[in-house]
Amino acid sequence: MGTGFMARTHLEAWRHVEGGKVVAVASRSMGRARELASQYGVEAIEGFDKALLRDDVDAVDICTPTHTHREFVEAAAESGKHIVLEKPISTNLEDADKIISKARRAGVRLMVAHVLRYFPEYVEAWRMVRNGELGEPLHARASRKGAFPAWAEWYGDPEKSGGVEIDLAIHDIDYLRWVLGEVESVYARLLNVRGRRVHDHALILLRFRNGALAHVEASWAMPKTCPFTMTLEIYGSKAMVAYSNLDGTPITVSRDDSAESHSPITLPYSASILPFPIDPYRDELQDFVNLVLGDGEPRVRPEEARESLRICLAARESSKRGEEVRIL
Amino acid sequence: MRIGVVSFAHPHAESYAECLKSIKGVEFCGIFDEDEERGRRKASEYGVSFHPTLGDLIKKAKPEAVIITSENARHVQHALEAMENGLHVLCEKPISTTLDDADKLVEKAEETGIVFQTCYVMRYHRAAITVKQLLDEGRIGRIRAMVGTNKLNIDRILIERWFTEPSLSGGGAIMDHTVHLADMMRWYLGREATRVYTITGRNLFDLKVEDHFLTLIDFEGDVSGTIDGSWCMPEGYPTWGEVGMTIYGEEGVIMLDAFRQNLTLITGGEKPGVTLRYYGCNPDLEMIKDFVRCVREGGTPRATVVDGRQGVEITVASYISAKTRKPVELPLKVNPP
Repeated sequence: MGTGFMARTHLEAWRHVEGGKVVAVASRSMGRARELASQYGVEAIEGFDKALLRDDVDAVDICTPTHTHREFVEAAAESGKHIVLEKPISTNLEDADKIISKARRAGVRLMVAHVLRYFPEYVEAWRMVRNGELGEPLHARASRKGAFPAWAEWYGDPEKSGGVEIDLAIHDIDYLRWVLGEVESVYARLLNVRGRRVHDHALILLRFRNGALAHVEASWAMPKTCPFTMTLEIYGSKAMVAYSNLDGTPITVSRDDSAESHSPITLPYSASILPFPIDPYRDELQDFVNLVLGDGEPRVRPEEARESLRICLAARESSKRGEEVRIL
Repeated sequence: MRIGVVSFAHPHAESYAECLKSIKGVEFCGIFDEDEERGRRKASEYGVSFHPTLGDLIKKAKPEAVIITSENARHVQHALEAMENGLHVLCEKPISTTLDDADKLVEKAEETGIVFQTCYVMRYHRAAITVKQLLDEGRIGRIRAMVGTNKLNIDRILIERWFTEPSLSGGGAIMDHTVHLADMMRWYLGREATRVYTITGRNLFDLKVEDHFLTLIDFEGDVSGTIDGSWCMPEGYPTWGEVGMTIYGEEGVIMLDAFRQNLTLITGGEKPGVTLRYYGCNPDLEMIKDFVRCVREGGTPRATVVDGRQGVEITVASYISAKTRKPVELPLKVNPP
């Protein structure tokens, strides 16, 4: 469901998933559905309701704008379809609760696609912490920064996307909760650096119940010329681990006639050119298929997606009130 | 010009002493150190006289100015005595551990008309100065957010025991590493802080003082900045630490990583490992040259006693915030104990 950036990314990843395949792309716009469907050799369906009526559809992958999540999850659950839902689960807790309870009552599987928990570098850092290689992890910094996602209008609408504090910061907040445990308090400043209607820059300080601290930075305020960057640092009592996506470029292509002087190729996300793809989106969707086919627990339980959203909303509240917000 | 050094407690004293030796027309004239063994050792190393008291240094070595690199909590007594004797002062940061003491230094400097310069060395760092120029040219438009890091290799702390002795240091990482970034933000913005919030966590290392923290400061004109001055890097980190700042403006972004100019040295044999060897500018030397110029010409230092005091105020506010878990409004209304 959906034809945007994430739908395209998921369609690419679905090609490599075992035990599940895409039969159709559904969109309100038949034109966009057709265009995308033809690229992946699948059917195009106009309107989501029609897709849900199909008996050969066991599950839906909802890649629509955040504000539409509740409506589509409810419809899918009522039709008995399992659901993989793009993050964030919602822009508000009321909808998140409805989404979770609806799926539970309908007896369908629901997985929220917090893909960072599948990125190999982030998984490796999580594993280091779990193995005790860092000693006690007590200080962390995570950032995610890029230009404003101008390819889709809804990001600029606070009602629809929730702004940078929900759409972008939730990645690192969810990941840090996975690594460090539950958050105890939040203090944040949300800014409109580039004068947009939505917050485009978030500075968030987190204190965790285990005594760890974390600095989370999420930005849509970077110039268009800057590459998208994500960084992670975790400091423990025995060791530290640091990562930046800009460092992970094993191949760089340069040509006389190239507009850019260098064009790095980032291997893990170029599934199509590798014999053994390491693609976090594939791994995530594979997990979802396994979940639907078997029992198992998803790596991200719906309640955790809700909790991560709650922290993002606490950051908003803190910024508005100018106070620390305790998470009870 | 004769300049004395008050104490080698702070490791920066070594670099400052080297700088004194290399500046034309400056004579490094003597050392006073409460640790007599250390003081005598350093005096013989630099070929200068040792003095068992500050009064003795002043009387016998006859300095025109002193560099104060004693333990944080002793800055105030040393600086006051120096100023009362008409000596100009270059004082290591933080200039004091309490706001009350900082105010005494401001008052004394104003009353005596003495040159009191605060060792905010980043104001003399080539890269940091270039950023200041770019900002003043309006290259990224109005500043809205700043993210500063001044993380330190824990080995630097473990070699100087007093850093973790609250009665001498005045505190841990907050006391040690708030002021550089806070001062850079004030310098870049030309505005004062209005609100400070700080969190501390469970310590990474077994120390009597806090070894990590995060601070968020609001400034006049709707600008916010964060400070991470944690002593969180393990001993194996290939250098002493870092000073970084990302500045977000309405028209662009500037990223500063001030000590990024390094050679990578990889060793084998008995001490295998990777070390970064810095080849960038020497801001210590520029800072001391400027101090000498100010004393000679009666100029105003780039970082004054008031700048030193403002840093102490932000630091003190950080401690109050960490304790009360509330943001603290500035200026502080009453001097806290």
